[in-house]
Amino acid sequence: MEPLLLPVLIPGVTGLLALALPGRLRRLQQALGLLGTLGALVAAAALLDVRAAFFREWLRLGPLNLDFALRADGFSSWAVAFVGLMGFLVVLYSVGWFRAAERERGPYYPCLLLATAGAAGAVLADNLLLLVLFWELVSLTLFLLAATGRASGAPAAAKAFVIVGCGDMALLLAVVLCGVLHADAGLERPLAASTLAAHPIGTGDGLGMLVFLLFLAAAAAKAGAIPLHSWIPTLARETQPPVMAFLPGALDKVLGIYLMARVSLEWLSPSHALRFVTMLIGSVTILAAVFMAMQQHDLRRLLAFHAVSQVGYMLLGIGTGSLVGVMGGIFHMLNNAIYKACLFLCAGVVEREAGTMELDRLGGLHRNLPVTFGCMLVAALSISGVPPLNGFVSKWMVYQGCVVAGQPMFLIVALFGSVLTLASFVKVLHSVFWGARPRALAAVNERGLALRVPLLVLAALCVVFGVFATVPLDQAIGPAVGLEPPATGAGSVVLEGRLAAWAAAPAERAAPAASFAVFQPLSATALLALGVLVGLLLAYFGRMKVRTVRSVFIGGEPIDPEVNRFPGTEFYRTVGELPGLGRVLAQGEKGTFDLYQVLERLPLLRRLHTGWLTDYLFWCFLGLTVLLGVFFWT
Amino acid sequence: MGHVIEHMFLFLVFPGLLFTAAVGFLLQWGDRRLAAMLQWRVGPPPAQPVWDVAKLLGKEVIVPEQAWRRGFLALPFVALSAAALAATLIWSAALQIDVAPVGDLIVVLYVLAIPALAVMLGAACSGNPLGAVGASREMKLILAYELPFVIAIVVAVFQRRTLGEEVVSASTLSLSGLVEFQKEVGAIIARPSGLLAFIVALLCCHAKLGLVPFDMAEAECEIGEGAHIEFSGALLGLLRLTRALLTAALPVLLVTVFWGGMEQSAGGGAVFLLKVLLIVVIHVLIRSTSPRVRIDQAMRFFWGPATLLALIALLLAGSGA
Repeated sequence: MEPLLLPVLIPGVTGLLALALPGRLRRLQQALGLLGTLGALVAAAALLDVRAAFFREWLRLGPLNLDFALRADGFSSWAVAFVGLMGFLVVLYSVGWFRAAERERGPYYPCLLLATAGAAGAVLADNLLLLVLFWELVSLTLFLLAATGRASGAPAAAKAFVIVGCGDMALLLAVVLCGVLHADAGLERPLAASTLAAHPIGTGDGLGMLVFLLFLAAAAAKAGAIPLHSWIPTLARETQPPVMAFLPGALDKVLGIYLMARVSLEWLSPSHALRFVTMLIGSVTILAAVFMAMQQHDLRRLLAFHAVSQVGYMLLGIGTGSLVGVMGGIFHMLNNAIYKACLFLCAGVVEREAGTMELDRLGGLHRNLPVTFGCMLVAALSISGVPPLNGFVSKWMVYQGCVVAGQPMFLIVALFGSVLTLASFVKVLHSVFWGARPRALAAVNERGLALRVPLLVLAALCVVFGVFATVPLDQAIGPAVGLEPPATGAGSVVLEGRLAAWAAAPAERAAPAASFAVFQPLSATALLALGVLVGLLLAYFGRMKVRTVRSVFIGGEPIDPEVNRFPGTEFYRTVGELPGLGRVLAQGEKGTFDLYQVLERLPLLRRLHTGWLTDYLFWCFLGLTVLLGVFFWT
Repeated sequence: MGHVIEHMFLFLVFPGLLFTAAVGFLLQWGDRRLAAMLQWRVGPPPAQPVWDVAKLLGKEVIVPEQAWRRGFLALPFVALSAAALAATLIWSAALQIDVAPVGDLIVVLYVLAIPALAVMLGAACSGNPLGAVGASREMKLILAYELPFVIAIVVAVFQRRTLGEEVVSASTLSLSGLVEFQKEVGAIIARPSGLLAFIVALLCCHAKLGLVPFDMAEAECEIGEGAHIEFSGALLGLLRLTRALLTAALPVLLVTVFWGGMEQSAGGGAVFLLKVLLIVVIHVLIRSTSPRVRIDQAMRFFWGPATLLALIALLLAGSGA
């Protein structure tokens, strides 16, 4: 068996098998889910150092070729391993999360397995049409997961499907245009990724520009960048937490950003203006989404807006076009998947045990859910970019990219967005885990190893990818942008600023040649730890005395947690009441800037959507007729 | 191995923890003495800030039952350690100590935010609602001043100069790189854009230090020390020590980024000291002549006029002025 096929085949086959099983055999489905994703993970891990290709001729469509071609280079093999890891953790968590009262509905495990297979296939695909096929498989499974998850999930699933579907259409158009352009240039196998990499399409003319913008739209819809983001917050409310955790981990962010990285690094050579557009979308996404997140009172929606906001950093990094920025963008994708999945899974535990996601009705759970609290703390600090956790390292690289690209405004937006993220998560930590505990939540506790192990693994990864950031950077991200891994012990070229090709030669001379910025995560962590250690030693030898008192006092009276509380919803009221900004945010909450809601109100579109299957079939038939007419006419 | 010991020495002794703490205590004494003079009082003796902290360190720590005990006890240590790391990085760059740096300007900015973050988290996890009010105010204040502060720093990073035929740009996030740049083309503060940015950054540092009029997070008469309300004994002592470190580190950061750091010449040290003292005197003048503002007023100030000023500086810097 070809090893390259295994990461796709194992989850695919187990997924189909699980689909064939009756839904009553829940344990068997769970076992298949665990086996399939674990198999994918192992198969992908075995690929890590393999540089190989698999090729079978399949179809020829006119000048275009659809081959079953897979390829493992440094980038794709790491991405596949990542997809496998996330898939396994999410399935493991699902096994613990669902219970008799609220069990998996619909084809839950088959969908997770098929989505894993689709994501792995899309990442490995060496043919663009094949990529589209796998990409569609992911969109379809996403829709099924959302539509069958909760009774009220159908509208949200439809919204997600419409927006992602539009993105998919853009992708198909872009791919076909790519193929036609290359076929016109007389190239053999115009849709093989290697052909594209060898002959990147220039974006000087209108057609090249169009191809890039279509790719950008596809990536933005999948990853959820503004203005195509709005399906993520809607979906977050209506779907189960494990599914939301799976989204950044294995599906939307990884695929969208992977595509964007491939497009702007290999397949096309984006012009300055197009890079600027990418960066602009990135920065608008960062800022607008994080402001929205700050004002949310529902934990799921809040996390979903942060998921959108983080995409901005990835697009910004990739848009800078400098090596360090692009690497930062890709690294941020990995890091985001880790901490975002961790956050959604932690929120899932809170929802499962406390029965609500309303920040107003939560509080004081740090003692009831110690593991969840610890993991959420790490992930929250990580997404806020607190050094030395992983979120900081990749953001740091994106900032360097902005400086190299000479973009002060985008640097400011990125830095400020990071502060806003921190603010939002201080609120979350306070209102879920600290503050006053409502009496109804006194008996809450966490159960089950299957729930806790994924959290612990992800939180540990947050720390490891931060403190030892040089390892993923040199082993995974470097090869993605065509850097040779350095000899062991040489240290990271990126973080020490020893990368000669940081930027294309700048027009101006940067004053001191040896003044590249530096970040040594290991030394910084060691020094911080040393400081804490010295402090603790002083406290120990100084015989620091600690006494616990029964209650908190205010004005000489012990407080009543039900009365004297400061709920998280009060935290940033001042921001919402600022003139101007407050009104904009209120409009945003109403959905004024939601492209889907705006288009939904258009009379023409409303009239077209009758809800009758016959009408839709008629449109499909009409389209097919037109296509056939064009086909025969030319 | 030599590297490790060198870094440890830099961090713990000079110019990190011990040295910065000593300078910070001296500056705090100067601050209190000057404020006293402005208010027709005598003011404390030079060692008073040290005694204050030393006394607190010997006192009992009280932890409320509702608090997240481990975090509550650990966070002040984290605050101190982060302040010491930031101080080490800033002073090393200012004094141009020749050692492989651990981090650049971005790292400094982020590490500088950790002490405030630790206090906030400590207040939020103490279980006291007034502590949470303080934390909320502190976070909103951070939101408010970080925007103009970041713009002001970016103005320095994107400075451009025309030297004859050649255009030289700073374009670096390395602190020592900025010092080198200013050595070559002159201090950033000497240009209109640099001066404006410096003024904005100075105001932001004022808020970073939690000085009046921006002390609403720990307003003692409104919310009983707010963010500090549950901290007592040695923990409070550590937080005071942290503040002393920041008092000595932030003015040096401003001098390093905008004013060329310390010149390696005879009298360079004295000039450097004068620059730092000037910044401290401005802080004292502002804090002893103004009343506390509300948090919404502070936010409006920083996101309004201060940000506008910083943006003007950015525009000027873009046009090379």
